[in-house]
Amino acid sequence: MTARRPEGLTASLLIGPATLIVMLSLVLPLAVLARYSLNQYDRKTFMVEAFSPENYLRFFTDPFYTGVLWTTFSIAITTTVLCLILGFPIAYKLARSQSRWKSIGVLLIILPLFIGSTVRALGWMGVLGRGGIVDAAYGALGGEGISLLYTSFAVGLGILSINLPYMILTLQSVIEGIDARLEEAADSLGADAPRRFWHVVLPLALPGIATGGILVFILAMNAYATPFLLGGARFQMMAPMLYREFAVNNNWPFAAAIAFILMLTTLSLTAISGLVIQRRYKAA
Amino acid sequence: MSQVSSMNTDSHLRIEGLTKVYGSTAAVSDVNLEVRQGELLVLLGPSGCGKTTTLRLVAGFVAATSGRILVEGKDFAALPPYQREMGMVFQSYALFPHLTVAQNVTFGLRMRKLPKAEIDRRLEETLAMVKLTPMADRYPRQLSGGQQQRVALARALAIRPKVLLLDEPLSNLDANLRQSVAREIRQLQKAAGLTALMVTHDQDEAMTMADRLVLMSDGKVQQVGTQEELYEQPLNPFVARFIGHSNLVEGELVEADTFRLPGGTVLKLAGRYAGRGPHTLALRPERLRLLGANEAAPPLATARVEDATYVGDHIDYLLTLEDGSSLALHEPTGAAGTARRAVGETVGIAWDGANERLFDAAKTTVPALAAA
Repeated sequence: MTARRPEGLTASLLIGPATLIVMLSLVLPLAVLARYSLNQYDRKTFMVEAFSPENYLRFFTDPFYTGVLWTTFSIAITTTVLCLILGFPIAYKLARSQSRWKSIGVLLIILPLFIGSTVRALGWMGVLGRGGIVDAAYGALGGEGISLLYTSFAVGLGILSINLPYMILTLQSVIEGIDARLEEAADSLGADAPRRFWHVVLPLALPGIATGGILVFILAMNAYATPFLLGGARFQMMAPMLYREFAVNNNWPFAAAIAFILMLTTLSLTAISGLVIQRRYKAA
Repeated sequence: MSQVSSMNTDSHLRIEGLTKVYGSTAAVSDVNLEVRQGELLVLLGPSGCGKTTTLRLVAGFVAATSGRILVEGKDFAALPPYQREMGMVFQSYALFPHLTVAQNVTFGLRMRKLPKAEIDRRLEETLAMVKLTPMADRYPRQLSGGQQQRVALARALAIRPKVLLLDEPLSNLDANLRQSVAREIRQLQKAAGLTALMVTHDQDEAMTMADRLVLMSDGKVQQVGTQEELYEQPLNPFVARFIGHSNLVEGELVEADTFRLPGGTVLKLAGRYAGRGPHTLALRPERLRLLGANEAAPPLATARVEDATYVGDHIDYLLTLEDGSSLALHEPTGAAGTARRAVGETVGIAWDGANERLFDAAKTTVPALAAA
């Protein structure tokens, strides 16, 4: 009869520890970081207690820093779009496959995730760098030695290869949720393959595209090892720059400000895209 | 529709030697069917009998291994589904969840790029047919199962299909909705003069909706015919058992009118037969008679009452013959002298010649000899 009370109590008991952990491990450090970002930097004492926006002003008034933010954004958006274009057909094929090789296919997609991004970036260095595979092949064709390392291409390729599995797996599970009979219905109603895709599969996969896109975009915005190793000093992105300010220059206040700018940019872009897609999905 | 009936053939859809082989098993083997203009042909059979594969072959979702699918004399077997102009109604309805009722119904028309005025006209007409005009702007999830089914039907009808294909259209509906939806489908199909092919595993559904039935098993057509033909003249023991549940008794024809069971029990037959050796005897429970104590006719068999259940319109008897083999018998109630027999009582059973079917070892019907 009075089952509500104990139930509510049990629920809060169950949620409690997790909430506490989230508070301690996420909210608290963020609050500390936010406070740091308003402090000032001093060459001798490093961090001086203050309450000024100067770190943020420095970032947004210096074209170097805004340039790095813009580069990071461009790389993230480009790799996200490429992930979507390259990942969708694979995800679709996997989702609709009835073959017994399907699980092997899924395993092949997951397998790269077992290898850390640093190791894979090193792998790309071997492929793209001077004396690497591309160089050797180019040389064999009679070309001068080339290196594709430390270019936007190398970084984009590296991030793409790391993010693609996440996109494929997200899309696959969403496409599997779309009843194959819907496509057959469209087929019998006179829709050829491109129109089945456009009118049925795409609108129904939109939530998955949003989820996969946001996931991959966030990963790309915050990529560290890949731009660090494949971009080097010539191609800067936000996360390596943040680390350098923090660990090399010991400028904690500025690093904290960069961290917040990166985080808020990513969050707001994600929120905006989520809203746009939600609206389109509802209208469709 | 009238331009079709003016053609010199009454078979609108014709299936010739249709075969689908998966690996080493034939899901459908050598199916030959004819559906007449305006006819509703029902494919009936247990699950895995190939009826659904046959329907999917006709729709084009599955490519035939061999055979032809002729619609109005034109072979459709090589065409993709979107060029076949067949209206399909799915078991799960398969309504587009992101589209409204109106958008669902007009989907096929928009794919055909019909002029807007024509689309609107047909939408109005089709929605009125299925009585869903007030629901035009709802989404499928806001409709009941029966309404969703009608939208699915409207969507298939709107394209004015050459053939209407129905895949278990009633099996997702509540039992009390089924009859009315069945009647509605039937009415719409007749009103539109549509040639239709329907798949079901439900015998009652098949019996009530079909013009003619096709009973399938193991990928093969077992019998094609009207309800009466399948019930009264089953071509083989499978048909006899599947349609209306016959008692199937295995035994040996030792004389023209004597049938011996493996246990030694001997039954007299109502008719006389030329063959000898192993046969299967099919007897419908509702066509067997319990003999009264002072009845003149000699019993064809005697049995012991194992169980007697009164179910209203008939008494459901479970009898055992001398050798222990069981026999179901339904005695209609209402007539004088249909008191329920006691369990353990020995009873005499008789039946008419027209109600016994004998099949030989090759499972084909053995006709009775003409009475001398």
